[in-house]
Amino acid sequence: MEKYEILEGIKSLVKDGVLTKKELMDTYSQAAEDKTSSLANSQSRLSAILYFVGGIIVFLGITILVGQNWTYLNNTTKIVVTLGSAIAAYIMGLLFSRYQSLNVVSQAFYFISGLIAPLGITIAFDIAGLGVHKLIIQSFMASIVFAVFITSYLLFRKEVFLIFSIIFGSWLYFAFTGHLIELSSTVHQWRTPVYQVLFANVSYLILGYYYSKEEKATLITLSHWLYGVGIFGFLTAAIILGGWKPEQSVFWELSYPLWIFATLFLSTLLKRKTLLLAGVLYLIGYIFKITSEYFAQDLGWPVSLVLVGLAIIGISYLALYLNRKYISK
Amino acid sequence: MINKEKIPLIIGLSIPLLMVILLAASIYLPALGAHPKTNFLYCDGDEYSRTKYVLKANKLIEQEVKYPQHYTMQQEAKLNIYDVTTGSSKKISYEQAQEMVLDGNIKSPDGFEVASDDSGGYGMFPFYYSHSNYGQKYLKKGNYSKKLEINLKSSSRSYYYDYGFNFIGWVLQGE
Repeated sequence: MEKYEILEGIKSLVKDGVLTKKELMDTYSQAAEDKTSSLANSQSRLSAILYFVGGIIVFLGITILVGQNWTYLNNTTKIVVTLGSAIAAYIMGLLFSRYQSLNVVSQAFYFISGLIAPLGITIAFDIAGLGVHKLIIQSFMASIVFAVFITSYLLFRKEVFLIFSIIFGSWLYFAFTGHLIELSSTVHQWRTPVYQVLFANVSYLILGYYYSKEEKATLITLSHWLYGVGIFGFLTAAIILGGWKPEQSVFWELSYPLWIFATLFLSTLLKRKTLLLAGVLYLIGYIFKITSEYFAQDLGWPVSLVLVGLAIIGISYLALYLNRKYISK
Repeated sequence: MINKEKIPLIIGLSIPLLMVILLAASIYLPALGAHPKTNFLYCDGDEYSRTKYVLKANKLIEQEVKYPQHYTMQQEAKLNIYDVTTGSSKKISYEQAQEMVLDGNIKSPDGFEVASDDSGGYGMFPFYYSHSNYGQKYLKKGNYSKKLEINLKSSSRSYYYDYGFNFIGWVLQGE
């Protein structure tokens, strides 16, 4: 609609007494305020991103400093530079968090602390001669950093602690279950770690659903990440569990289309494009796998390619249809 | 009373715990009925060891191995007893080992055997990709399997071969 038409419309509304001067002025003021606050929001988002980029650069600096001078630094210095920096950054974050205006800066320091803490604790344990390559020792290190960050989240409710709690919790889970797997050759089989990954990703998906119900924007962003990582991890693990002829798993090969359709259904229900994308990509991958596993030899490779190509066209249409009808709406 | 909104959080956190419980159950439940009793003798030494040990009429015999003169790397193979109840190794001398009555069968009289890790490697990027550790040994019987705590000399430790570890026999008498 042209500006002239809008103004004419307003004129006629004023003449008819439908629109008052106050209503018009209020609408104008509201729109001006929204414009200012959206500008301020994008500026504060930009500065938050820069704080965290700064945090990553500090982390890289410390890692390179220790890495380049590993042979020259004595053990105390190595621990002070890494674990000491993590503790110092945590304390800085704690001090800054006392001032509302420095809230994002405090989170940037907690972020630095979260990045350096695993490196620091690994170096401290290594110097203490505890054998950091052993999974049981890694479980112990992971449980220390996990305990610190989950307690901090429960006390201060800052999302940065929650993100690191999920990362360190995953480290603890993979290290401890990895240790259990090594204990027995009965469970030390190639499928067990795939189940390990599958279980973790189901957990990410459910946590993603839980945080999608929250009102805070950072928690909703976290839920998008959890959905993304969870669905790609789950579908990858499930297709690997299917195995390959003649050692295929009938259950996982036959149930895989059900997982794909459940993913596509969830994408429409939860309105998540990530789930739709994952469902479509893995459906294509599954068709490729099944065709090359069972039909490529009988039908011949060129005919199989034609069939797969047609299937991909069909799937692409399905994806566009689902996106238009249920997700973008 | 549990808050309904927290149910997804509780389920999400329970799933990794379920995996830990399933793994622990599949490891420790078969162990409930399995009580290995027979210790075994093994030797720790690589393929260029100066001596080789063999069993003859259930007794240990030492055989000297001849190498070309320019071979200077030959090491002494060390004899060890593995205690299956405590899960530890103890070094013993050749004279002590000679006193023992040994059984060279793969299976012990109580049905256990020493097996290698033949998993073919495991792990998925980015989490703990591990090669098959063929040098890692397990005590096995049916579904029961327990990792053996054997620390071989660094020169004879290998992920791909088990020439560092040589099973000699089950100790029947004379320990």
